Amino acid sequence: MVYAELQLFGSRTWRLAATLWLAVSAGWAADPSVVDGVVRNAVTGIPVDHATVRLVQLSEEGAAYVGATSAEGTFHFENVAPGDYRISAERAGFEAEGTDPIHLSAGQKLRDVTIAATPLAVVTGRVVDSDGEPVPSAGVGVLRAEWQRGKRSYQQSGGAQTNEAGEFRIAGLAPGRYRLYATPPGANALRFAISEGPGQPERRLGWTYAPTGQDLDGAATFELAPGQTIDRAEVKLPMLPSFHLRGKVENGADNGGAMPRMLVAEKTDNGRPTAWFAVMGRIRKDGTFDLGGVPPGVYTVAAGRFGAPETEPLDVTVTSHDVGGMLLPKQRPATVKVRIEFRGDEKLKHGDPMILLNRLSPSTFMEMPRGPRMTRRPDGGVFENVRAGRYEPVYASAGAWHVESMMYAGQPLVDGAIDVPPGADGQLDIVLAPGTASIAGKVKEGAAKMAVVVAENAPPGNVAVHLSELDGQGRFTVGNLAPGKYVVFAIGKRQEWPWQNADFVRLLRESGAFADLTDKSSAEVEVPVLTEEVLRRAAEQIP
Amino acid sequence: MRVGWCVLLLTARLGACALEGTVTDATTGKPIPGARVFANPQGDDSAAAYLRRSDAQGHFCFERLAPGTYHLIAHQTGYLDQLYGALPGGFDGVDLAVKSDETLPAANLKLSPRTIVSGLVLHADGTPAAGAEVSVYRRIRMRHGPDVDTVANTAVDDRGVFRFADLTPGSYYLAAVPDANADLRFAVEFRNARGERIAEAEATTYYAAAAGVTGARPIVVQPGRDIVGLTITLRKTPLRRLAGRLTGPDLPPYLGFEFESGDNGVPAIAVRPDGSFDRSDLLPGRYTLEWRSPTGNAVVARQEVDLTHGDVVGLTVVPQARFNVSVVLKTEGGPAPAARAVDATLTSIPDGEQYTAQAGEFRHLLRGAYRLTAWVHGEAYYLKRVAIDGKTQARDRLELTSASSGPIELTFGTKVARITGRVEGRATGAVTVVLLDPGEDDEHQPGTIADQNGAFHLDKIRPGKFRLYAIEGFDDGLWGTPALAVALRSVEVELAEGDSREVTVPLTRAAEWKAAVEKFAK
Repeated sequence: MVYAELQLFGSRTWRLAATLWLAVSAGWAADPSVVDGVVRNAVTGIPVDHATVRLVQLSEEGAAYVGATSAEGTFHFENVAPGDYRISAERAGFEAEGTDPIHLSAGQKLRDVTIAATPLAVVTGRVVDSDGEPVPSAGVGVLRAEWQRGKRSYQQSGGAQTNEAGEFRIAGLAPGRYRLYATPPGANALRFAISEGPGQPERRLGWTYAPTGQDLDGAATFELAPGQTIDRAEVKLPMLPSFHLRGKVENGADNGGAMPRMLVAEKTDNGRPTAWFAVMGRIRKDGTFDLGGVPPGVYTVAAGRFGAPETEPLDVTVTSHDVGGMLLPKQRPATVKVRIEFRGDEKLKHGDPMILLNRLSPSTFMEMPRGPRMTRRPDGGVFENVRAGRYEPVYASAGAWHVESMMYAGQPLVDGAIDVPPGADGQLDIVLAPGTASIAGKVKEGAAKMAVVVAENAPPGNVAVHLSELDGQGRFTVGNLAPGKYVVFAIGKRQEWPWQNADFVRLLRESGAFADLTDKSSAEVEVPVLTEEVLRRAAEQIP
Repeated sequence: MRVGWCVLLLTARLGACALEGTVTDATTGKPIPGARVFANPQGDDSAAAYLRRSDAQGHFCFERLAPGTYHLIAHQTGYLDQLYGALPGGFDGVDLAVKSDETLPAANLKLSPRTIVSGLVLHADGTPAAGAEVSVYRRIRMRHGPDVDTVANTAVDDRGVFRFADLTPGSYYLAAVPDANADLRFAVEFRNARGERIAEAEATTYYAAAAGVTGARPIVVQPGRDIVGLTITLRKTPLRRLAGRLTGPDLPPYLGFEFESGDNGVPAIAVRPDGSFDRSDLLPGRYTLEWRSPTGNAVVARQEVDLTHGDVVGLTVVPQARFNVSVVLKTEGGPAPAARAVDATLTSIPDGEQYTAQAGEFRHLLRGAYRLTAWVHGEAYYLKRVAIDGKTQARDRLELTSASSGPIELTFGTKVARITGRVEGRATGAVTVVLLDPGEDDEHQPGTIADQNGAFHLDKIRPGKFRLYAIEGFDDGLWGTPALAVALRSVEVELAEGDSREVTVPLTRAAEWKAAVEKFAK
């Protein structure tokens, strides 16, 4: 090849040769652009055959190409239009992966693109009842601990129904640590609560975590490595005593609607919602209800229709007898007024400040967990029809202002959040001060993808955690920061870590870079890279 | 003396069950010991069921049951759950009325062994088609002719495997539906790895390799005879091209595009500044194009396009004069229903396009004739009258020409009628009482299942003339032709507002029903 021969003549000639090569390629503009590469199993390195590979331009209207890898795992695209592309690969049993944006110029031949696809794991097993008989159509799910605003919460990560032999198979699981649960069938004869005779105690086939137990903390965890298949053997559903919840909905009689009016009792576990263990029933036309089949436990009860809850959630504890006389209070939305004061006389340059009210409380009945929208008013704005619950107010405008202080109903915010009781109107008093700061930086050494900028002492209402992708040279800039102290980290992969958790940040503090923007408007930092192991160890130490 | 004592005990024991019977295998007749039998009270979702296990002779006994109505269900591993009185594995069971001083005749349950139907769905290259779905259909007869009814469907797992275990005995067709096409983008078509237009895509494939039910190989499910190893390789279908232009002002950036066969299709077609559009990655089938004004979102034109058999090029779409007509609700003889519980639909004649009233009006109508239907969710109302400008209209044919064709007045009546009755003749299986309304386009309602004494009641019936049938082993999917309705035994009843009538309905036995279906439903 021409290039190899010129290499003998030293670096200056190398640069000349490279320029020549590019010039020659550009001259071959009539020559089609080519993209070649291979998809490999991220763990074994073995090429992945019959994977679907897509070249997609970043803009929605740009060109797109699709092909498949050969038996040797290679792909070859030609006649590709120039532009910025993302290359992605997917195949059943693997996590879909993509490359960072790649620029393809006219006539360019891009070779040796490698995409590493992580194989996904599988969990199989069998669900039986207290007699050892298989349970058909039982629900099975796996839970992963995830971070939500710095707090540990469990989310369902995959699920399946058992077949007629009680067997289940959950595929497509990303590597990680899981818990497994099983719930009784909802539609066959095994769903009934049963009793020996009229007036006798009732029992029902109940739910459980694997291998046994009703509590998350007692549930066994298991690790799934990439591509692993694990057999969880038998999970036995217990026979549990079951009781009734009786009462009525404050709204009273049914006022019409296409969907049936339902009552849902969701189990809570030490205050945490565990929506996978729930009992559902109908509300009668006159607004009364009698929900049977409820095992002992603590529940949050709500009534409504799909997409439209009607009542405020009510907590109830079921021990060893029926619960009667329940009254589910109807929703009483509140109005939250927003008053914005500008420190200094620069009101003219403020643009239109927008405040977001992010809903933090869980939602029921599949309603969209979106927060209410603010209507602007001359002195700030107003949120109308705010459902009771916990919210995080955030100042969202990209301007030269930051939040200096935020109070709700005359009190400072706790944990950056406000609690809106049913029907209790309140006022958010926000003081905005001029001036935002920025941090620019680069990674010290090593491979990193993201920069994380965490505020150590910014007032509530300002965004506390900023994430920024690093450019090709490992550089980043984060702006719109309130004055104050910051810690900056660099991490390898985009993953969910509890940056909002002060304990987590404190454990990693010494491995980050500091920037004090209390009196300055910009700072430059050099950031060391945090390995995934260090991050995981810190996460494990947080309660 | 001893013998006499034993006999006495036996008699006493026989009289000691409020409800009893035997559980047997439907294919061999042998008793099934240890089966779970549930007596489930009807009418109260919250009431607990009673459970007994069958003994070594398959016998079960509920000694005491609170008076009320029950369904009996037997459950045993290896068999379909069986509801007393229903077809094997069926859902329509017989109500057993338990009274404190009566003993019911033995309720015997015959359980059908499960049949497993399983196999693989593959891509043409032999890899598993994870993400595909398999649907099971059976042939039914509708008024408009033969059709297929979906009986079950399941997702294919990561190995491409599907498995059905709940199919009742009968003849079925299987079809594999490929995963939603991830190569569909809003504005731009994907090209293949050589930069060329993609000429074909995977399409729904019927077992063994057909494009539709004709040409498909049926599978026959018999109790306990598993059918495994079925392989469906997804076929490819050529993709179609649609090209044309919009004429007129108000050009939108995209044309809405709805695929009649489902949501596995292109969502929109980009419109160029000169009004032309051209897209070549479309699955064959019928589509509806929708041109919405970029300002205000009103429907400027709606057009059907058929790409089933070939490309459509040179289509011109012109603005249509669409208008809205408002709807007014009135009620006679009772409180008005809540507006949002009312469902009013206009169906255009002859093309059958449907418009549902939203917020008190029918929107985007074209000049023409419509059929109107209206009902109230869950409530005892019936549509009594349809009027425009005070003049009663035939709800089968409303001529609507412009916004001033309305408002359409819908008057709902509250004085519905009721029928209580008995089926004449003793049946062994569930008897369905079918209500046929000749006025409503021969629409029928499988009204209810008679209880073990043949008693039944039908509520919330609108005034009018009806025919009542009592059919043992009824299957709604086989009702089909008007000739069938005439051939079967029935009784006529005319109901006025608020009527409560007692009717005796002659029984059509299962064998007669099957024979009539064979004869009239071709």
